[in-house]
Formats: sequence, structure tokens, C-alpha cells
Amino acid sequence: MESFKVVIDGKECEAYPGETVLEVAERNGITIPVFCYHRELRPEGACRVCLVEVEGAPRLVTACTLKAMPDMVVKTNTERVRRARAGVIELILNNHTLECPICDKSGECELQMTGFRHGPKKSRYKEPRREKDIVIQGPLIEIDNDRCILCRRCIRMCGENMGNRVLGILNRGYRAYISPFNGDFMESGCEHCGSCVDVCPVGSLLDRAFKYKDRPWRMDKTWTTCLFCGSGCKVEIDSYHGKVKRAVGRIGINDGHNRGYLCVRGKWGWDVIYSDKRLKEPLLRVDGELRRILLEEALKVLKEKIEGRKINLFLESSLTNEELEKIAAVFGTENATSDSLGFYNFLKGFEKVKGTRETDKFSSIYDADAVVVIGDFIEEINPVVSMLLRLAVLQKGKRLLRVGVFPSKKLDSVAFSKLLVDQTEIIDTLKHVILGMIDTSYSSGNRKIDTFIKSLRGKKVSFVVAGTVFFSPEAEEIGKTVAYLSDRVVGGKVVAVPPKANSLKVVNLFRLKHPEELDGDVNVVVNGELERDFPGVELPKAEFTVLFTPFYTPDVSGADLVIPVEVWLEKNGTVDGVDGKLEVKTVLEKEFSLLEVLSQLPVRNTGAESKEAEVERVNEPGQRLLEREKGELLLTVLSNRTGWNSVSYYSKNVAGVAGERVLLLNPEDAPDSEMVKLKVGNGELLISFRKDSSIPKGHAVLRVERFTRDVSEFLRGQFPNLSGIRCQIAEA
Amino acid sequence: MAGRVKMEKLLLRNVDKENSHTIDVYLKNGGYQSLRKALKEMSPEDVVEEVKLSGLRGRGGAGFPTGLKWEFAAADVKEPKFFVCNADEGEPCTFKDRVIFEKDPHALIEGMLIGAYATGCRYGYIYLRGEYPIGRKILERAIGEAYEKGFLGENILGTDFSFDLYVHSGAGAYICGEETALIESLEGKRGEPRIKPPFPVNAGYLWKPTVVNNVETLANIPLIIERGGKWYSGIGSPDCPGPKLYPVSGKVKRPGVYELPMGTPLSEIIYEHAGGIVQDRKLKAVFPGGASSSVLTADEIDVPMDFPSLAKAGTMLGSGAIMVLDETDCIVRAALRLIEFFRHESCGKCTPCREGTDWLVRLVRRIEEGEGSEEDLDVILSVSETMENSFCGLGMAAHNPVASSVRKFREEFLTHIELGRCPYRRG
Ligand SMILES: Cc1cc2nc3c(=O)[nH]c(=O)nc-3n(C[C@H](O)[C@H](O)[C@H](O)COP(=O)(O)O)c2cc1C
Ligand code: SF4
Ligand code: SF4
Ligand code: SF4
Ligand code: SF4
Ligand code: FES
Repeated sequence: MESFKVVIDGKECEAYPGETVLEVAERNGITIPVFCYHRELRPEGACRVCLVEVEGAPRLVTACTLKAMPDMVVKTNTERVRRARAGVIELILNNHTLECPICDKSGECELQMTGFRHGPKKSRYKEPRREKDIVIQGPLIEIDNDRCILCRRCIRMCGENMGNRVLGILNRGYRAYISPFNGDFMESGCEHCGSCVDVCPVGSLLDRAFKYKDRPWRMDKTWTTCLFCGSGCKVEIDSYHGKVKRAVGRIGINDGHNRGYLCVRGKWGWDVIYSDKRLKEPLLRVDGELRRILLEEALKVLKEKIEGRKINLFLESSLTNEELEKIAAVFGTENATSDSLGFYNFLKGFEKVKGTRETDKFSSIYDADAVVVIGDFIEEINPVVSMLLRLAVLQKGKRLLRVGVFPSKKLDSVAFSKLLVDQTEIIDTLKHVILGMIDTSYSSGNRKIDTFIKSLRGKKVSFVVAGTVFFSPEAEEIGKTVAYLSDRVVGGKVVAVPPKANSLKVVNLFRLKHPEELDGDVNVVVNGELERDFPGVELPKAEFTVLFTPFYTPDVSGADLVIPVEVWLEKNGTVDGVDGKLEVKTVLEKEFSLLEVLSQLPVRNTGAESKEAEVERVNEPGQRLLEREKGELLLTVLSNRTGWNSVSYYSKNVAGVAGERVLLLNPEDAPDSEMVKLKVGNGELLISFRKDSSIPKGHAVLRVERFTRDVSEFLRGQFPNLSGIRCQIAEA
Repeated sequence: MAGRVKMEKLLLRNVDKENSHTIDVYLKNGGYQSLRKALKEMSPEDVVEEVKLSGLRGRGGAGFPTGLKWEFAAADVKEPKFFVCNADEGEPCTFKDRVIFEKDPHALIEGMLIGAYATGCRYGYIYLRGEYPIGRKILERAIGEAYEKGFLGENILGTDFSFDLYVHSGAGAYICGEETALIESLEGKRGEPRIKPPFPVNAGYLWKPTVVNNVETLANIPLIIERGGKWYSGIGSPDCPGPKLYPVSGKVKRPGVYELPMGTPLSEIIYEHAGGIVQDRKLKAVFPGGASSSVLTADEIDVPMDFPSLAKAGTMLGSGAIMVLDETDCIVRAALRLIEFFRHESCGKCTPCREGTDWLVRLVRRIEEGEGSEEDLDVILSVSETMENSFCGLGMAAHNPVASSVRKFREEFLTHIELGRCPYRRG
């Protein structure tokens, strides 16, 4: 793009078409005060504090809405501008409650800072303060309208960026106030992403978990990476004297790939540290009973039990690189399974076609014109990734195309085109696209597919595979198909969004097997929970079972040795995330450390244990595997956003907004009864259901907050699949 | 002066006829002939040229040249385009548009049709003030008649031109008269103005090109097509021509809507057409262009009532609504009533208007109640200055009546302050 010059305060500045004067000024180190402007939001021009003088314009103009034009001459600091600004700030301060001493925002409040720098020096307001005593409390968020300056950042954030439209304005003029549209956060569909709280410039939108807990200026602020899922969001953890007080995303300031956006888990899940289910000391089974022991004793037992024995390794995938490398060294890499098995299968398929399992960084999508998103329920599994995809359309003008089965609230409203097909048709649909990319005259016989193909032609295309794909029986076949397709478009980058924070490292370091193929003598489960991470799987019969876990999981009762470890908030290290290497940092003290325990174990001398066994190459897309007989539905078992990684089970904060367990059926597939019996193989589950016309016919979604024993048993034999599971329903 | 000769009624030519609101009466008096002429004998470009030639400026308040607006809209290639009539008339003392759509609705519809033809608009809306239920009935009936006769719908008069027209009632917010707030409201959203640019002609209703014109503006169109832009440009003020409806209210003997050539002196309107001041009292002050115009004193009323002349006089023509105060009226109280209206109608989007109107109300009320001080007057003027930086026209103008009253009737404000009460209050 051709740049041009504008003059701001006498300084020649380079500007690009479409940029506002405010953006140009900011880039050139010229500060213009703002309230309603926020770099992640569409300009609103509402607060009127960013007024500047433009040569030739009779009125002052708001810099946040003014597009820079060649040879524009702008002044940001004249007497007239200063007076106008002070006038606006005076109007805001007149009725503002002066409760800084008890306001959580105090110290990082934009009204304090901007008011101090640009506001009037004394008050002329003689009227009694106009109180706006409207406080709206949700489980995690509170709006104190008395402090609100009506900048509307929260409304734009929630409605436009998050696509939720929870917040709005009630009443008008000086009586206007902010509220969830029907007065209640939960009922208005708030997903508790916390983004509105993050962008509120003042202490109006509050994090209730932090309310009156501490002061911004005295806390230790540590940037780290949220390991609750594969989005790997950069987050600031604030603590005081070693105790965590809150998590903040700092949208717009945060330089991580998530740019400060978080989800409910990253924003509020930090209190897992203080869960009363935390394991406080090692346990050893003696005479059939678990007894507390000292760590040294535990280590001694552990060394004895594993020496010379083959290990059945069960890995949960949010461990750090350092931990995983140590685990590989002491337990071996050849006889392992993981909750990332489906992801592994996908990459195996991908590698068979591409010759490499290397996929691209998430940020590579910003170089593409069109982003094809393959997979469902990304907003539950990797909430922030789905946000970033949405924003790629809204902010960067990318063309987003979806291939999937279920509607997506976040993405469909911004998607340029979408192919929502029966789950059995995913691979065949992708094959049509392949043919269409090879042969410009190809017609699939389906208009929707043809227009989809047309909108990719001549465009630089990136693929993002995420969500349920990695939990489908077709994961490997989809891997092949996407790899094949990506070679037939311009660009052709592929981002495989890891379901868990360090799935990438796990699949690259270990040769993963299905749990049934494990043939070792001792079971070692690291960070995992069987029901949650390996639903339907039972530990192999073994001489001894060792558990490394931060919590009293349901598995503890079946273990022989249990060693407590830390949660990610207490770790230092790195992970191989969706956007490259991400750093994990903490200032917290911890009592037990996985890494320390592992360091005391002998390294295995299994020689050059390389998993780089040749994969056989194929040069064709994958094959459709999913079938469905008459009377069958394809079931997806979906962990709720709050329940993913059992966060709500260990976090009191998140538990307050936890989802429900419910079966969703297309009205046409639903029986007349209130409950249904859901059958999968030998498994059965009695459950209540809801008719939901957004569920396509022939499919069913079982939402769970947690994979409890009954769900896990119901899914016996399905691992690693959680989607595309053939099931039947019967009235109950 | 030419204005004194009884002028031919143009905009109000039909309103005194019996059943003037029916299509039969309209047709009998030459109605829809201009539409026929435009569709059959003129290209859309010709129509735009004719309107440009006429010099017609919008009667909604801003006085934007109508031909130019149409040219911009016609030049935009996005489809479909929309033609919207602004019939939200919500300002106190403005009641001119109502006369047209209640008494001569087909003139409005014909004007819209010609405008839609000229700009390539396929759909039209009349955004009607919520408090005009009778108007709604009349307009809906008229639209029905026009459909029946083939003036609305597909292939109008056998041409390729098609146009569908709907009435949309507002929900009682003055701000929805501002064109972008109107569009938001039409889209079903909260009525609040949008950032301009982009302007509605390029990105309006559903972000498609949209022409928004005032009722009175559109009622001029059939005349211009019938008799030519050149003829039209000869009426009234040369740089701001045409007939104009002036609603006159307050302390005059004959309040009402007067059709006069643009530029008729304010004094003539008050003393000749509206019959002078009640009980022949002394005139005290006039708000010459609606509730948000700056006040004129008795010495300042020799001004021609058109956009440029009033702007030069430090006030504005706005909707052309003239509000007259006599010597028994309290200016402080008048200013208070007006600013209270704007406080109530401010949408609350921007700080200067939301907070400024409230502060002004509180200041002026305190003075009116005898609790004011002289410093308050300076504060009023400085708040008024800040409000100049409001987001939309409402806030930019809302302070005018108060600030101009303080400037021109400072003594009267001071009397309130010194006496500690309103000198006009009896008892
Ligand atoms: C606060 C406010 C209220 C307005 N109300 C009206 C109105 O009631 N009717 C109207 O025609 N124009 C109104 N306008 C002017 C419109 O924004 C717009 O300029 C006009 O409808 C354009 O039509 P015209 O070019 O034919 O005048 C209002 C403007 C503002 C700022
Ligand atoms: S937390 Fe997120 S979803 Fe909830 S109101 Fe705020 S921005 Fe909207
Ligand atoms: S709650 Fe905060 S973000 Fe929302 S409008 Fe008020 S001050 Fe702005
Ligand atoms: S999206 Fe994932 S990584 Fe990001 S905050 Fe949520 S749980 Fe953490
Ligand atoms: S000036 Fe501001 S608050 Fe007033 S009506 Fe316009 S946008 Fe709303
Ligand atoms: S920051 Fe520009 S108007 Fe608010």
C-alpha cells in the first residue's frame, strides 16, 4: 500500500490508507487521550476526548474516527484542543463517584490517568452529584454503573468482537446505563470470556473474584501461558506474597498471539491452585490402604518399582516441554498413550501425504486471503482460537470459510461461505473441493459446494483444522485429505490447532499407541485422569500403578503410588503451542515439582530410542470411514467450555458458571418421552434431552460438564473418539 | 416587496380541497403528471440535473442541496438502493411536514417516486414520527391507492422502473429524526447516530446507498419537474430558492403554517402573516428556526428567513419553525424548557450532549429558581462551548437557545440572580 505524509504537531508522519489520525499519532509517539477508543474495537467516536484541530476544518475533530488524508495538518496540543478536552473530562468527572480508595481499578484506571493529565484543574460543579445506583451482579462479573463513563467499549467488545451481544444500554441520555440485555448475565448468554471486564477503562465492570482483594500497584505481575487448552493464551497472573489474586488478559497490550483475549478458563480458572481437592502429600498403598508418606520414601518406592520394568505411559498433554523431555528420558517414548492420540492420528495421515508432520503457526493465517476452517465446536474446545478466527474476518478482512457439521455461533455470522454437511460426508465434500481446485471446469453437482470452490479460486488459502476433527474416527483420513488439498491451492498453509496446550510436543516426542496396545509392566499416569482424558479406557493389568497428579482424582483410589505435582500456574518452562514456543512462568512457590521428582529417577538406556520410524507415503486423499445405519445417529460427546480439562471441577470460580449435562437432538430425531436411553456399542446412558433445531438431523450432541464414571463407561471401547460415534436412542 | 403580493400556493395548493388526501382528488388536479413526465420523457440524469438547476435545498434542517445528494446516490453502484422519507418531525413547534402528508400525501409519494427513479432506488420507507397515528393511516391508505393505480410496484407506468414503499413508525425518539439514527432505528436497532463518513448516500440502510429526504423537500419535487428547475429557482432568495413552509407558534395572533417564498423577512411573517403579537404587546424574542436555534431579539427580526441569511445573523433556519415570545415571557424559563427537552431526547451516546444537557438544565433551573450566581452564566457559556464538540447535530445545537439567551438577555438572568426569584412569576 502506498503510504503518504501527514503532519501532526509539526512532525511529518507516515500514514497508510485507512488509518485514523489517532493510529498514525500513536505510531509516531504522539499521545492523544482516549476513552471510548480501544485498538481492538471499532471506533465509536462517543467520548469526544480525543479532539484535535485540523487545518481547514472549522470544528475540532475526533482523532479516533478521522481517517488520515494526504497532507493533512493536525494539531493535538493547542490551547483550544486542551480546553475542549478538559471540558469533556470535566463533564465526566462532575458526576463521577470519587471512591478511588475502595475501587479495584484504582491505580490502573484510565479515568484517573487521563483525568490527571488532561482534565480540569478544579471543579466548577455546584450541583449535588447525580448518583446512578444500579449495580448488576453476575456470578463472576459485576457492573457498578455509578462508575461507568458510558464509553461502550464493553458493548462493542461483547457484541461485535465476541459475537455475544450480552451487554447493551438501557434508558437514554443522562439516565443511560449498561446492563446485560435482560438484566442477568447467565440468561443473556454470557460466556464469561471476561473481555468486557478487560477493556473497561474504569472500575465499572468488575471481576468479582478480585473484588476488594488487592491493589493493582503492589501485585507481582507475571506473564505466562495458559495451559488449560491448546490455544495457549498469553496471560498476566497477578499475585501478592505468592498468592494469586487474578488473571488479566490486557487486551490490546498483550503481545501474545491471543492479543489478550482469554476464555472463562484462562480468566477465572486460576483458583484451581487453591482447590480443596489438591493433593497435599504422596500416598502409598500398604496392605490395600493408601497411606501418607514422605516424598523421599515415595521416590524410593518408585525407583524400585520401575527399575528394569517396561512402563505403560499415560500422558495428559498440558505438560511442559521440559517435563515431557524428562518423562521421555526416564519412562521411554515407545510404550505411551495420550489424550492427544486423535491429534496424533490426524498428523500421521497428514504426514503420509506430505512427508512431514510439521504444520504451520497460527499467525500464518494472517498472510492468507481465505481461511478454511475445518472442524466443529472450536468455541468450546479452543475458545480463543475461535475468537481469533472471528476477528481475522472483522478486523483483518479475511475471507472465512467453514467445513463442518454443526452451526457455530461465533463463526457462522462472519463466515463468507459454509459447507455444513452430514458428518459422513466431510471427506467426500473435501474431495469435491480438491477436484474443484484441480479442474476449474469441475462441477460437483451441488451448487453450494461449487460456490464454495469458486470463492477459493485465485485466493491465497490457509487451512485451520481444529475442534472435533481430532476426536473423530476419521482423524487420520481427514489428515490425509487436508494435506492433499493444501497442496492444490495457492499458499496452502495448514494450522492444526492442538486440543491441549502441549499436544504438539507429545505427538512429536512419543510414539503413541492405543491404550489397548500397551504391553508394559507398570502403569504411570502423568497429570491425567482416566475418565476425562481416556474415557472408556481401563488401566491395563499391571504390577504397579503410579499416579502423578495435582488433585485427588477418581483414579487415586485405584493407584498404588500417588505423587502430587504442581498445576501449570506453579510452573516455569515452555510448551510447543499453536503459535510456536510459548513461555510458562511463575513466581509462586510450590511444594512438589514433577520435574524435580523426575530428575531423581535414572535415565533409561534404551539406546537411540527414535520414533522416527518411516511412515508409508501415500499420494491420495483419505477415505470416508463413517457410516450410519438406518435408525442410528452420529454422536458427539462434547465437554463444555467450563468443563474442559475439568476446570470447573477444581475451580470454584468457574464452577459458578458451569454448563449442564444435556443431550441435544434434532426435533425430528427426538422421541416423545422426557428421557432417552442412549446406546453405543454395549454402553447405555439414561439421560434427559432437549430438542434443538440447530443440531442437524441424524446427529446428536451429548454435552457434559465432566466425564464422570457413567459417561466413561458408556463410551467403553470408543477411545480416542468422541465424535462420529454411532448410537441409537430409545424412549425411556 | 414581492412577498406582500399574495403568492400562488404551491406546496399547499391542494390542502384546502375537500378529500385532498385521496388519489382521485390528487389526480383530478394534475397529480402524478410529473411522475409520468419524468419516467416517459426524462432520463434519471435529466431529473437530477433539473433538481440541481432548481437550487432546492433540503428542508429537514441542514439545507443540503437536494440535487447534489441525488447525484451522489445515483453514482453509487451498490444494490439495492433505498429511498427514505424523513417524516419524524419531532422538534417542539415544528408541524409543517404533517400538513403535507395528512392533507396531500400523494404529493409526497410522487416526490419520492421521482427521487427514487432519479437515483435508482428500488425500495422506499417513510419513517414516520410515532406520535402521528393519523398520518400513518392516511399514508398507508394513500400508498394502497397508488399501488392500485399502478404508481407503485413493478414496472410503473409500463416502464422498467419498479418501486415499493412502506411506512415505518418510530418509537417516540426525537433523535431518530437525525438521518443516521433514523437508519439505525429502521434496521431495528437503538436509535443512535452513526459516524459520518460514510454518509447514507453511500452506506445507509443495511449499509446500502440510501437517500434521506425531508417531507417538505420531497413535496417540492413534482413542482420542479412540472414547471422546470429554472422557474423554481426564481422563487424567493436567489441562493436558496423555492417556497417554504413556516410554522409559527407562540405569542402571535394567528399561529399556523405559512407558505411563503424562501427569504421572506421574519418581521413580515410575524407582523403581517401571523397577525402580530397577542394583545399588541411588545415582542421580546424569537427563536427563528426551531427549538435549537439561537434566539433573536426584537431588534434583529428584519432578517430574511433563509439558510444563509440566518446563519449570517448567528442563528439558523433549521426546520423554519418560528417561536415568538412577548414581553410577559421569561427568557430563563423558556431556555429551561427547551434545554429540558434536549436533555430528555439526548440519546446519551456522547459525553458533551449527555452530560452537557443535564448540567445546563441544572444550572438554568437553579437560576430560574433564584439560586443562581453570576459565575453560573460563565459556566453556561463554557459548557455550551464544550457541547459544540458533540457527536451529532442534536448536541451541537441543543445549547444554542440557552447560550444565546444568556448572551442576549444577560440582564434578565442577572435579575433572577439578584432578586433570588423569577421577576415574571406572579404571586
Ligand atoms: C437531532 C436531529 C433531528 C432531526 N430531525 C429531523 C426531522 O424530524 N425531520 C427531518 O426531515 N430532518 C431532521 N433532521 C435532519 C436530518 O438529519 C437530515 O438532514 C434530513 O432529513 C435530510 O433531508 P433534507 O436533505 O431533505 O433536508 C434532524 C437532524 C438532527 C441532527
Ligand atoms: S464476559 Fe464476555 S460474553 Fe460475558 S458480557 Fe463480557 S464480553 Fe460478553
Ligand atoms: S461499563 Fe466500563 S466499558 Fe462499559 S461503558 Fe461503562 S465504562 Fe465503558
Ligand atoms: S482459550 Fe485455552 S489457553 Fe486460552 S484462556 Fe481459554 S483455556 Fe486458556
Ligand atoms: S449529540 Fe451525542 S448524545 Fe446527543 S443525540 Fe447526538 S450522539 Fe446522542
Ligand atoms: S476516543 Fe475518540 S471519541 Fe472517544
